[in-house]
Amino acid sequence: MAKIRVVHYLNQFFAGVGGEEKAGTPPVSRDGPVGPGKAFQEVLGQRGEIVGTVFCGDNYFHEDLERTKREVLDLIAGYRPDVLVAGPAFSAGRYGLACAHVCLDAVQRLKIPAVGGQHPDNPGVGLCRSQVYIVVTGETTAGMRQAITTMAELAWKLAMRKTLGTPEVEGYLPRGVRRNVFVGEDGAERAVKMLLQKIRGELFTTELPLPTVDAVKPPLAVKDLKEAVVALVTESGIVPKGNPDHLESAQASKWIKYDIRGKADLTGEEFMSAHGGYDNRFGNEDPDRLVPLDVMRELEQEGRFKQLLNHYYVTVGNCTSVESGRQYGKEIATELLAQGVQAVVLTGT
Amino acid sequence: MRLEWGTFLVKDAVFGHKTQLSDGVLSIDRDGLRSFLAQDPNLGAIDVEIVHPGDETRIVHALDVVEPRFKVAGHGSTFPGLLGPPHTVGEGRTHRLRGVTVVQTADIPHRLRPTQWDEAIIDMSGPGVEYSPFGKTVNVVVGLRPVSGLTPEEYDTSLLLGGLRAAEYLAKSTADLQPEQVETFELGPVTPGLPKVAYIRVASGTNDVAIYGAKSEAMTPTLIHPNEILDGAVVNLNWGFASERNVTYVQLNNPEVLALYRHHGKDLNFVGVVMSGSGARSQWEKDRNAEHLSKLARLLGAEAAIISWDWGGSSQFDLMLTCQKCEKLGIKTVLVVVEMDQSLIFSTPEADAIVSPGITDEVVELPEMKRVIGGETLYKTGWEAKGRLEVPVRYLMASTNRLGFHCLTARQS
Repeated sequence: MAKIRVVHYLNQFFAGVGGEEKAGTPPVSRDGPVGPGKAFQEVLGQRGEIVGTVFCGDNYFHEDLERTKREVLDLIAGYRPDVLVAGPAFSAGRYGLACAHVCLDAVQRLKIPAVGGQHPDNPGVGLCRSQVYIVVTGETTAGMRQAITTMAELAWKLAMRKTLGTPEVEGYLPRGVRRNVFVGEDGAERAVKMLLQKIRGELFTTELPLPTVDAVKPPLAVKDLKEAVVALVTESGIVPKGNPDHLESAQASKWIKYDIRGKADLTGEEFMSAHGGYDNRFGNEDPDRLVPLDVMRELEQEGRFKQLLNHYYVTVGNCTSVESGRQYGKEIATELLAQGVQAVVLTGT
Repeated sequence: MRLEWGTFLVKDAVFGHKTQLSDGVLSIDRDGLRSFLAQDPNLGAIDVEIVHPGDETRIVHALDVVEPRFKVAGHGSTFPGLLGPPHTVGEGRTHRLRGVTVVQTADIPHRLRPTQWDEAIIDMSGPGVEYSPFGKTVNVVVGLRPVSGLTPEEYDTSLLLGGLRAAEYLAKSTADLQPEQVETFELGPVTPGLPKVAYIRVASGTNDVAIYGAKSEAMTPTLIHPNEILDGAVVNLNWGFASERNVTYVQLNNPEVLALYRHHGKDLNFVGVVMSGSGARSQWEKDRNAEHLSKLARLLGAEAAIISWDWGGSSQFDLMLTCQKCEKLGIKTVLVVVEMDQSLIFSTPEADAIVSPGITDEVVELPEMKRVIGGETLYKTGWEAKGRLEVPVRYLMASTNRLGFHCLTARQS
C-alpha cells in the first residue's frame, strides 16, 4: 500500500457550512480535505491522502436515521477508502452520535477500520466503542490539534494493519475487548509480586478488572399511595401506530413520551411495538400487555392512587449500551421528579 | 520436612538397547518400556515415539504430560497412592529428568469419553510452540489403547497409570547415578516479621486431581505441606480444555509453590498449603468449603494468600467465596483466574487483585505439519490433524494454565 486512502466525516459546522441554522443540511461530499481535514492531511503527509470529505447537518442526520445512514455510507463508499475518520466531535452529543453511526457502518458494512475522536461522556462513545477506536478528547475544541494527530496516527496504523499498542499508549478508549499477550514473567511470580504489593499497601494493578454493574438501592415504599402520582415507564417500545418518531428497534438513540390523557386503554388499532428483540405479536394484539394502562385506569378510578401521569415514557432496550441506558434513565427520572411522581410501574421485556 | 530434588538435565532422547542416561542423552529400550506398561492387562497396543523441539510434528489427543520422576530415598513412593501405598511424601530425595516428558495419548471411544474431554494439541515447531511450553521439551509420546469391554472407570485408570508408570520407568534408570543439581525444599525458620503467606488451591468438584490417589471431589478441605505437592502427591485427572489443563508436569512443578519458595525467607514467610475440592452441588457445600479453607489459612497464621482454582465454572463461586471470607478474616488475597468469555462469571468486590493467565477463545493459526502423532482427525471438529489449523488457544496444552505456569496474560485493547 503506497498511500492510504482516508475519508473524513464532519458535521455542517466543522465543514464550514454554518451553525445551528444550517443543521438541516443533507449529506454532501467534497473531494480532498475540508476544515480540520487539512490538519489531518498535514499529519499524514506522504503516508496517506484524505481522498474525500463527507458532511451532514446534525439535525438532518437524526430526522430519519436509517435514510441518512444509507446516504452517508453511499458517499463514503464511492471513495473506496482504507479507513474512515470521523470528527473529532468533542462533547457535542448529536455530532458524536452521528460520527458513531457512520463509524459503525464503515466497520460493519464497508469492513474498514474507523477512528473517532470524542470526550468520554459523549453519548456516541457508548454506542460504538466496542467496534470503533475512539481517541479521547477534551470537551471543547481547545485540544483539536492533539486529537487530530493521535487520530491520524491511529488511522494510519489501522489501515496498514500494524499491531497496536495498549489503549493508553495509542490514546484510544479501551474497547472492552481483551486480547492475549505474552509477558516476561509467569503467572505465579506475578501473583506473588502483586500479593507483596498488596501486603505492603503499595499501589497494585489487577490484571482482570471486575465487571462493573450498578447496584441500585430500592427506595422506601410509598407512604401513602392514595396521595401519590404514578407514572408508566417502559423499554418495551410501545409507540403510536406507524412509529411516527422513528424509535429504533435496537440501540435506541432516544426515549419518547406519549400523551395518554382521556385514554382508558391502549389498543392494537392505535399502538404497536417498535421493539426488535422479542416476538411482538402478543404486544401488538393488545399493547396493554406491555404498558398496562387499562388496569392502571381501574385502580385510579378505585382511588388506589391519586392520579396517573398524563404521559407514558418509552424507549427500546435492545442491544442498548449500559452507558445509553444509564443516561436515558437519568433523564426520565429527572422529568418524573419535576412532575411530582412518587411511584413508577416499569415494564421490561 | 526436607525434600531434595536431584535433577538430571536431558538434552536428547533416543531409542537404544537399554534404558539409561549418559552424557545428557536418555536412551530408551522401547520394547522394555512396552512390556513394563503391559503389566496392566487392561492395556492393549502400546506405541512409543520420541519427538523433538523443531520437528515438524504435531501431537494430538494428548491426555496428560508427566515429568519422569523416581523416589530414591525417604518415606513413600513415586506417585504415592497410585504406584505405591498412600504414604506421605515430601522428605528424602527424588530424582527428576528435566527437559524430557512423557505425553500419553489415546483415542477414546465415544461411549467411554468423560464429559470434560477436549482436544489437546502440542506442536513441536511453528507458532504453537510459543503457546504450549511442551513444544520446547523432548517428548516421549506413549499411545495407549486399553482393551475393549472395560468400564469407563477402568479405562480412565489404565490411561492414568500408563502415563505415570512410563514416567517412573524412565527416571528409575538414574537410581544409581549422582544428579547434576540438587535443590532443597524446606520451610525453614525465617527472620521474624516477614508476612505469613498461605497457598490455597480450590480444585473442582468433578474429575480434577487425585491427592494420594483419591479424587479431590467432595473432600473436606485439608492442610498439605508444599513438599508433598512437589513430590508427586497431586496428579492430574482432568482431560477437559487443554489450555487450562493443570497437567501432572505442572502439578509436580507447581509454579505457585515454587514462586512462594523462591520468596520464602526473603520477603515473605511461606506457611503452607490448603487444598479442597469444590462444592459442585449446592451453595451450602460452597459455603462450607470456603469457610473451611479460610479457617485453615487462619490456623496457619496467614496474613495473606494466593488462591488458585483448578477447573470448571461452578467452582469460580468457591474461589470468590473463599476470597471474600479470607479478606473478612484480614487475610489479603491475590487470585489467579482464567478468563471466561473475556470476564468473570461471578465476582465479589474483595477480588481486587487478580492475575489473568489469558483468554481461551482467541484463535491461533497453526501451519501444516509433516507428521502427526496421536490421531488422524481432531475431536469434535473432525478436521485433518496434520493440516493447517485455525483453533482457539483452548486446544493448546497448558497455554492458559491456571497455576500460573506460563507467561500469557490478557489486556484491554
